[in-house]
Amino acid sequence: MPDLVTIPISYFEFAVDYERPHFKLWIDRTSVVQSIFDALKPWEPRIDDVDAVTTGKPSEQGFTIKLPLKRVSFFFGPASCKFTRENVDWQSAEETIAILDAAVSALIQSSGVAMGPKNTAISLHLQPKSLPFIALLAPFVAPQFAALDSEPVMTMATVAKWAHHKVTIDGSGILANAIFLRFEREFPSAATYDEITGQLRRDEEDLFKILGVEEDRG
Amino acid sequence: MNAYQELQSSGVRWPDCPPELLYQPVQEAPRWPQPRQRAAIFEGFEKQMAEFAAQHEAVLNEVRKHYVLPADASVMTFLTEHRTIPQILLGAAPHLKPCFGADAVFSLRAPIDEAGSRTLYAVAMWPGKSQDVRDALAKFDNDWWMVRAGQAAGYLTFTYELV
Repeated sequence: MPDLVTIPISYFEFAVDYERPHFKLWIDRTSVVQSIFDALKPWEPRIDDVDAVTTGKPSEQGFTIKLPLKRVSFFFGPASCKFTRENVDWQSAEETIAILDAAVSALIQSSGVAMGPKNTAISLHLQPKSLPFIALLAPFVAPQFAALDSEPVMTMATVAKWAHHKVTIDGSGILANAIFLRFEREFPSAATYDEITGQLRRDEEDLFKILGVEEDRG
Repeated sequence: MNAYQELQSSGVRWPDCPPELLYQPVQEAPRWPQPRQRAAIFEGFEKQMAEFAAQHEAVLNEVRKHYVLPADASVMTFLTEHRTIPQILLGAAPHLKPCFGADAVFSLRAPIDEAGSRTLYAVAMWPGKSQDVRDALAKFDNDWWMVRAGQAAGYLTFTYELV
């Protein structure tokens, strides 16, 4: 029977590198900011939540628009854009996609950038109700590693990477008695949001099955 | 406790969201006192408040690294209303493990008692024998807690629950 866990911290990231840098987004971006701001109007953005990022390398500079009540942040620069939402769950996935689509569509239409592959990631801190967190990590500790010392293993991490997919399982550095799970997947630029959502949900279900956990929604 | 050095938060810094005012009696810019007439004590007042809030937030984040908090806001609210308690909890954390063991899990709860007031309970979730956890609690009391219990003014109790 799966162990019940709560998920006190979660966030979703969506990042895209453009097919080629678009210098208009570095020099003259007023109309683009206005378009994205207008597209996000249903979620009530405020002028004070718009920040120009003017430090760092050119690829790191750009604009960030935040929706604090929705815990959404959208950044775009001359070479890439990134959408982040905290406190995500599958119940709010439809809304998350609606905000993401509004921001990205406005960026594309107002600037003319061509999007490259879509990089997505979901990060979760899973907190067992009473089980020690190391019990969830223990199955991933190779016996020959554990045998290196007579004392029990305190924590461990596993990272697996494929061509378009990566999974990280670690102890949580933020919460007591919790593990950190992050799964990343790259999708072709033509992938639809429905395809992305469906695949990420299957990824999460598979990983929860491997970890032997189930979210406690009670 | 993590093993792999990787950022485990979104990294987004969120601005404060003051609640919207339903009623705003004064809608004009204040004309008095002029900035140069202000007492020095008020200079940077807002900055100080923001710094205090940030310090408190950092302390609460540290508490979350050592204790399991419930999904509701009861404990966070309690810790915000009793500003000395988080520091006591952080002071206790390194002394709990030697008494209860490295794998021991501690939960925080802030139930409302019959009189309508809240007390914070730091609860060791204990899967072993009851005598063992009673011994561990007694050792923790004698070694660390008894001489410091007065600092919590009765608002904090260390206890256990058999699971």
